[in-house]
Amino acid sequence: MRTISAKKMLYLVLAAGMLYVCSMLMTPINEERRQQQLTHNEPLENAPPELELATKVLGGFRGIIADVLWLRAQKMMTDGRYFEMVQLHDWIAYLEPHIADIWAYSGWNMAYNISVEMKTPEERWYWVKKGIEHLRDKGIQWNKDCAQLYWELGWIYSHKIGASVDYQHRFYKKELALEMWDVLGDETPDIKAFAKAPKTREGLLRDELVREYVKEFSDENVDILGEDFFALSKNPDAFTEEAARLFNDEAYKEPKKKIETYLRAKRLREECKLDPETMVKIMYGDPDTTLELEKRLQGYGELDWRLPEAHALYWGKKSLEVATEEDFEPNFDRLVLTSLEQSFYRGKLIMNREARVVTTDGNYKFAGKLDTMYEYLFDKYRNLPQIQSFRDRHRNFLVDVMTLYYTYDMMPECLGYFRQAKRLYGGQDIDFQLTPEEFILKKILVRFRDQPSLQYLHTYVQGLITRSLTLLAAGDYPSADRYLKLARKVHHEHNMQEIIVTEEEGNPERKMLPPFEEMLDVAKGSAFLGQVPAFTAPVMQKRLQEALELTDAQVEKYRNDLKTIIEERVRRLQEAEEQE
Amino acid sequence: MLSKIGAIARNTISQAIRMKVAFILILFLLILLPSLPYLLESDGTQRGQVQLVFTYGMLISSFLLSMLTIFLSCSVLSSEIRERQIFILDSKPVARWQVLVGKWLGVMAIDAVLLLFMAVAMYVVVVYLARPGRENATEKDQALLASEVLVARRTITPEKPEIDEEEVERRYQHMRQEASPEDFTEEQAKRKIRSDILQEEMVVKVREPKAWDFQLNPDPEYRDIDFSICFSFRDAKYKPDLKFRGQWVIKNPGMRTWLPVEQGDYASNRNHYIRIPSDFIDESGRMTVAFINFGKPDEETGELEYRSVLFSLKDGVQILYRGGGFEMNYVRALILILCRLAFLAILGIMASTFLSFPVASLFSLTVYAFGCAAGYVSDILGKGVFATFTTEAIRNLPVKSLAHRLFYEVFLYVFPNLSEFNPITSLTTGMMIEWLDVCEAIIILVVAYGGVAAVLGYIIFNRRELAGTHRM
Repeated sequence: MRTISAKKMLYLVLAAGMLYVCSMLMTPINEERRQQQLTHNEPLENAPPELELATKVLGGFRGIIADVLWLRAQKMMTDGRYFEMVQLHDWIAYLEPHIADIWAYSGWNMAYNISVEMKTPEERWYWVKKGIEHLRDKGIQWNKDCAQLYWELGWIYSHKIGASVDYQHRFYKKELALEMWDVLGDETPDIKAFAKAPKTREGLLRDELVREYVKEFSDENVDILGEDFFALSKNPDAFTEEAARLFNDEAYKEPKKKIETYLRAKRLREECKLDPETMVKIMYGDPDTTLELEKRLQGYGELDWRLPEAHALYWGKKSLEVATEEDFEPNFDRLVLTSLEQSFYRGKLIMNREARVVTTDGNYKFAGKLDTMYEYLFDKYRNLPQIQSFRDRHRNFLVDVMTLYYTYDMMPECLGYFRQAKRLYGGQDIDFQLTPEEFILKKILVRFRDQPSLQYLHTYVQGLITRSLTLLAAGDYPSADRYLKLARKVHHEHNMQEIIVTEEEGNPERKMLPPFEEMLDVAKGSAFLGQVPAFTAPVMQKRLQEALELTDAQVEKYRNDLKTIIEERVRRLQEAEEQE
Repeated sequence: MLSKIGAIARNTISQAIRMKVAFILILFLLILLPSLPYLLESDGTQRGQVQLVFTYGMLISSFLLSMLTIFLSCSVLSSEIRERQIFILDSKPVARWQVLVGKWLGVMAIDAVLLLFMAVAMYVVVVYLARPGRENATEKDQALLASEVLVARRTITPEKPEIDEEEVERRYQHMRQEASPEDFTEEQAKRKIRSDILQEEMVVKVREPKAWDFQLNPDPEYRDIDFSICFSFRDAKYKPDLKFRGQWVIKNPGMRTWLPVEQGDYASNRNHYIRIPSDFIDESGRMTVAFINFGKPDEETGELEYRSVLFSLKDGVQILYRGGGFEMNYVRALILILCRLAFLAILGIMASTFLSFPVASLFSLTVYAFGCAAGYVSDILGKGVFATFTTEAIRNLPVKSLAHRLFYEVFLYVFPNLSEFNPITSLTTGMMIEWLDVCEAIIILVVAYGGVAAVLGYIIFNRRELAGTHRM
């Protein structure tokens, strides 16, 4: 029998010693793991195979690989190379699917940091959407109890798309509206019907009329309960004549509507991850809610799901449903306030799908909800120092709501808010002695009085005129007329005041706006030249021409006149530059 | 002598063929490379997809080839020793260095063939993905592919401004009054002042445009595709990741006014690229680029804060222009990869002269991993994450930090920085790999590091008693 050599004995002793030292380190390491929540390892639900593979096969090594990928992602960012970022963020998140911060950071990084590095609006929107999809379709699906991720998603909708911090926010709003319209199918979709629609194919096929209709299509090899429904509605020529006839057959109107509702509800659930039942609760009130805010509001109102604020509210509410910490509520309140403000200030969507033109307008229907929200905030945060900023915001809101009702010629409502404002803030503002109309016009003008240049007011009046023209092209003649009237009033009021104020100083024209008719002609010329975003599409220019009943020659004259004005301005600028 | 080495090399090749590893690798690459476009998600553009597939295709292929080289080189000698076949070879009139060289040449021959195969496969995939008729191909993408990916671009830095020596003298005199003359020599002080003046030239204050002059190659051959301005700056107060609003304008000698190129909000500490149309450069090749800093926009209100930015002297503003064709760049990149493989093959063979196959493989893999990480470590040291290794630091820092620093400094000297000789990033972003880079790789990796490993291997193998008995 061989004897164990002294060398081997030494190795054995060394190995045992090292093992002992390692075991001593285990206690602090385990404590650190517990503190950093690194042992959180609940099984994943609905995880795709690649995720199962990454988490199970790689075991403890996945942390190291995630670190390496993270470093690479950071390097790529610094170098300004973004083509790998979607893939790298996916891999990192797949390797650590339970760490919410990774999902949150990746989504935010794509939607905020990378998007702004892109040159074109299309490229920017691609990254904003990627950020949303990353959180919504992956992060949240595998971390359904993580309030942070829902809230981050809601914030991207509210802040990145809804607010105006990104100068391409209008493009994002347009793309979102067009995409959502494609899913919802109608300007005023019946969300309640979506909520009531069967959730499964089998459930839908219990309806005898639907069954019969489906059978007719199956004879034509058309799967009307699948993608073929939307394909048929868009391009019937791609199908047989009989299929196209069946699709438009008035006799089958009822089953067709049921199928459409079922399919759209399905798309909402699967593509947008929006549950129609929750959407209904958000809009019309949740009977089971325990939230004081929701009890007071009785629903957030008739939200337009093509707009970002509706989505922000949805994901904000979801975050609160799963939140375990109480301090999540102020976050939610903030999101609700912003969303209701956005709904009030521009919750009315004016769009033309074919021309891909989207613009928004104030929606007075949200005035009451927003007012209730402020009341709730005053009660809830009355002891906080920020309460004064809420009060200032509320006072401005009351002025705006009066202006909006005034613009829409809804004087009883305007008067109601005027009385409320006078009651709450009348003591601090002498202008409440004026009539409501005088008050509103004064407040509009006061905003621009402190601006360094007349250009601000000029742009405002020009904006009102352009909005009027946009509404005219969209076919909303009454609203168009109201905006034009308001523009005229503001213009008149300012010039009258300036004549009085500056007459004594001489040269009153210096601070006066150009004649209103000239401003109107410039606005029309800009529209016909496609210089205004709403009129870049020729179809919108054509609609405006029809609405104004102009001949081609007159339109051309508007264009030429504006070109002459622009050329004149450029010439003057060049002269000034050369002199400099 | 050559026939002996050749015979050993041939024997090594047949040994490798018998192992079938090469065939498995070829099969794997044949399946993997065409599948990459379906497995990877890019930024949705054709250019992005080409770059992504190209990058990962090259990375995976290069990694697999490195692994194969390590295992093959460790196995060819150690298996002969383990199975005692080496006795036959050792009894023949073949010098031991000839055995080592033969083995190395055998491994390199296999590597060269596999690399060639990989290169052709990758090229076919890239050309296929970059073709104009593809589904998501747009004219813009095609132009970007031609000007930024399938090309070899060089960078050019702006002409340095002339330094006013009177100003240098004035500052030097002022410095002498402020500090004790023993603290610095005149030459040191003036060098520092000149550097400061140059750096001040790179500060762009709000609404005070700064211009840089460039002299490009006027040859029409280099002016046939679009140029790019590559720039990065930092906040003058050194706060990271801020956004600044700015505008770039350009001018050539034939123009009276500036041409605005782009306006935007640019993040600090990050590279940005702006395209300039190729027809902008006139026959003189001269161009002036200027940046107007509008300040830092507030995230909520959008109001602009007065804040200066600072461009790096070395690479703050650069022009990227066409320096050569993609194909030759690809060839140079392949030679660089081959240099890395050559080093790994020498390392593996050296390790197997005194270690068994598993230990030699582990050893080589460790060197490979450390070599790949060397670039990262070097970056950290360069960025000052660790304390600067100065006398003052040695005096003030705790021993643990000094030990860390020392470890990493030694680490960088001992292990070759393989990431420095990694051509993939340059290749896939259309940057020129110069012949000089290739020569450097040959000298540093193959001749210097490889040479040391080869000499060590030879000494060990020469002294080793192959038929020696071991006390068990």
